[in-house]
Amino acid sequence: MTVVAWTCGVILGFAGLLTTIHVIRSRNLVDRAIGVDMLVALILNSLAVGIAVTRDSLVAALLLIIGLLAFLGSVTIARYIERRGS
Amino acid sequence: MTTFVDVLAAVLLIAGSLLALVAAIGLFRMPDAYSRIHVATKPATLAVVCTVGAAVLQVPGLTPTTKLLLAVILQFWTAPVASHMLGRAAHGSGLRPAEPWVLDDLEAADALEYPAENGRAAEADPGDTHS
Repeated sequence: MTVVAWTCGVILGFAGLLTTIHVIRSRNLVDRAIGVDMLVALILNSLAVGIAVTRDSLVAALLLIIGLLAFLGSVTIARYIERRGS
Repeated sequence: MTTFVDVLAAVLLIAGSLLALVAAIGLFRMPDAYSRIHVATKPATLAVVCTVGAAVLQVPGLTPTTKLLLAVILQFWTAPVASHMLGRAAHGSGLRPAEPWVLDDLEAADALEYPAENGRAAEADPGDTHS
């Protein structure tokens, strides 16, 4: 299980690095919102991997909270972009 | 029996992580913002289902299982709504797809709703960001 944990950690870390590069390089606000949304999804994945590897469900409620906060953030950003028009 | 569950959980974990990596590569490969929205929804639903399923297999007890399944259900409810709002925002800010779209119902609805702002989307920039 340790090997699986390291493999998943490396893969998810590389994915997060690529997503961060995309957020930095993108030129409009919608692409940044997409990138940040995907970063939150990667955080959710990492938390689930941590729960599965350590068999400790202490952070299971964090999955709920972070998922709902990500939804609120995405919808708010989208509403503001739509109203402002850029 | 325990080893079988362990192996299944390991396969699910690796599959979820690989899905997230593929989506991160897809952010660079896709040509416009709409395709990137389509790509970014994958780790929010499919990969979360894989990794949370592995967590459900590994953690004993009813309460953690309920919490994890509730997280998955909420993710499935909220991810399409967020993607839809981002798509509307992309349309409203004038981003165009890489290939011209076949049908644009949102533009027609905007023209019906706000007839005065009719040329608003035409003056915005073309959509590609990674030029």
